[in-house]
Amino acid sequence: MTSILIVDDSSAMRSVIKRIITLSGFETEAFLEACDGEDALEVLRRESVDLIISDINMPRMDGESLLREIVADPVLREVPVVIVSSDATESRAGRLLEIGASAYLVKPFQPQMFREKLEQVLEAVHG
Amino acid sequence: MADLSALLNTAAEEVLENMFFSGVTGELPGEPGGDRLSATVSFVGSSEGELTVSATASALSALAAGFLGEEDDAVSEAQLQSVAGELANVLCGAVLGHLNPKGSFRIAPPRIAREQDGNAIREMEVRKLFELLEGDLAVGLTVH
Repeated sequence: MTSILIVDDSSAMRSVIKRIITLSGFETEAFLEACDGEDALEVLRRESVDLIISDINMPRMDGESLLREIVADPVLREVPVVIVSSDATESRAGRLLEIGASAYLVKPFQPQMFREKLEQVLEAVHG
Repeated sequence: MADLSALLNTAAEEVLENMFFSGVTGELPGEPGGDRLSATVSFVGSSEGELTVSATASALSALAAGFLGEEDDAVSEAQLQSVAGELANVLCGAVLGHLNPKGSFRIAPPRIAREQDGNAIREMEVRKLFELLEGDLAVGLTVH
């Protein structure tokens, strides 16, 4: 069972991601939510999660800054981060993967592809 | 210069089919009408400009219901606004990805407004009025 933190300033998008994960049969213990990077770091200070799914463009702290904070933290760096963004440009995806994102998914995505990507990421981490 | 009209067609079909479980059934002649909700996102980077979506409350409710997996009448005003913003955001990202895959862009958070008769897109460079199963969706795009 997996505990997932969803970071997105759009409440609609957080709902959709939860719905896609649930409908796809992906076994999830808990969904935690944050509306931006700062909010996510607060959640991560008090909760343990197995996977982080984050948007990029958010107020206060964006997804790239959040990712940099996570990879710089000796404990949090073990948690895989999947970036979900509407930014389909190769330069942005390449930069975030270089910083340490486990995967970069471009919206719009098909639910099945999303599930497969999450499974690949968790399998790579846990073996 | 890329064919922005064709890019909008491609992006709208991708976004509506994959994330809203809807689809473009055609293009409507004339201008959008009625009281509408619009969402506008501006972008900067390799290109600069704005993209706006505009729809009537009933069409947007149906789209939001498909997106959120809820009944039409269960969608709140806050959810409508959030879904309109997400539609503009994802559509803009899809357009820019096709326009310049190697480019670098920053899309600003959506601005939501009430408007009438498509005024929100009237001055935009490319305007589309897509026919959907749920009603119509007006989209405007300007690239500087």
